Amino acid sequence: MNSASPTTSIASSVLHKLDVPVAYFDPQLVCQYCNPAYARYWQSPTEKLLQKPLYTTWKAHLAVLTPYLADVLRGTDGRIHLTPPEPDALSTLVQLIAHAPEGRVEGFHLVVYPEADTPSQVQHLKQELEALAYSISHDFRAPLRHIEGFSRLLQGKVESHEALAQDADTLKYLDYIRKGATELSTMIDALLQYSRLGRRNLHCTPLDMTAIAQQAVTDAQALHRSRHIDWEVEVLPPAYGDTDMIEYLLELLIDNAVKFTPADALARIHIGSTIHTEGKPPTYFVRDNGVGFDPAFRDNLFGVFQRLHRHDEYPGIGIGLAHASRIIHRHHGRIWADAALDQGATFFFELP
Amino acid sequence: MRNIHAPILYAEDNLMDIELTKEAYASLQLQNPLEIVRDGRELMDFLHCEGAYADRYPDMPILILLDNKMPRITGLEVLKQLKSHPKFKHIPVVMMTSSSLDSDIRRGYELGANAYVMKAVDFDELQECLADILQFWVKRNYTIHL
Repeated sequence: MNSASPTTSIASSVLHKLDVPVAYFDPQLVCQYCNPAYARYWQSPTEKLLQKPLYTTWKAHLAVLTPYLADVLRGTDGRIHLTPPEPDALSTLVQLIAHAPEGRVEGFHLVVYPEADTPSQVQHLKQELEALAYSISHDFRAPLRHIEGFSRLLQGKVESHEALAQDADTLKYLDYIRKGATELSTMIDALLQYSRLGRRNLHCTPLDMTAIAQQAVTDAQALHRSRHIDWEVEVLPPAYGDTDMIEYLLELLIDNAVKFTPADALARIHIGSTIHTEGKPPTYFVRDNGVGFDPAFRDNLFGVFQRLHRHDEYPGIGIGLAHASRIIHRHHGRIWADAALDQGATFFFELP
Repeated sequence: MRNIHAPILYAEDNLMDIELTKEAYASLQLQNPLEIVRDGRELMDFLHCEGAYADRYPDMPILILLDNKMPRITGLEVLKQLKSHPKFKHIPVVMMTSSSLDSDIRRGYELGANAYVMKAVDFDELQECLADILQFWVKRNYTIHL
């Protein structure tokens, strides 16, 4: 790592003082250099890391790292999100940068970007959030139950009261109170689910996207027997992610497509993908021939309780796509949509 | 040997929940009396025929409906006491929780809860749920009398 060139000497002095952990490995995966931040990251003195093989320090993540190590030794850089198995730790981004001055790989740099706060802060925040979620689920629901229940009982009294029973407004107002309480309860559930999606641990494995999509379609068919839907499911490239969450993602996108296609005509829902040049993940999509949406509001699509259609036209509280977006963000992927009013909508997503 | 006089014991601290449940229960027209206790201590007094319940007819309840969340001694704590008591551990206990996402459910089953149900926000659903519970635990299920 030593050289007479001024750029190299600047680079090494910056590297030394940088707060970002950096190490350099030779093609045999033996550590030839590491900066003090890297030593701090492993809470180990530099001498104990130098000349040690990569798999001794990174053994917990070896299964995930191995294919990327093979790539970097062939000259292809990589970015890998490591999700630690323990619930309190945060995920880490590792970047691998090949060093190939004359086209031949002489080694590679490994850069670590820890993605946030210390575990104790995180632990504290998680406990606070858990307490809040618990409080919302229990404490908010009891008064709602009372509003709903006593309105129902009052409705019974009104119905059996000669004069009041003639007054349509009285019964209507009571009905509105009950509907409001029930809707708020649904929203509380949705918000809790949203918070859980953000907190639960990811168990990432290779995913057979074709099988997941087909299963989601089978489930949707069972759920919407009365609908005429022409389904098309392409063979999809595999992905890497949390099975439960990605299954739920497909379910959400398909639900959305079913909901916004006309119930009285033939709906067409197409699940497919686009494969890009190497190094870029494939783009999956769910396309429908439904009502679409005004592209001017596309940014609102994925917000919590955001709706682009009137409540009496399409039921729901506006949480499905927010859940979808949260799942994608947990995977460090991308989700977006394309549509024109009355010309169907396409939802795209990518998983790194 | 079904005992139509055996009480159904409902442990609940919230007065409005008690009233709603009583209304729902009344509509079901069961003969077993619905007895209300307001916390864990009252529940134990009831079972032991002590305190305010010293003079009650010493029938064992056929079923205990237990609110998961009560002040002082929590529902889970009461459940633990019940299920570790030689005389009471056989009484079926149906836990009532406000949320299906409750993280206590697992713990409840570990402590020997016989069932978990959610207190529905919709009154008609609450009534249906109560009817289902009683249909099974009071009308179908056999328990033993120690």
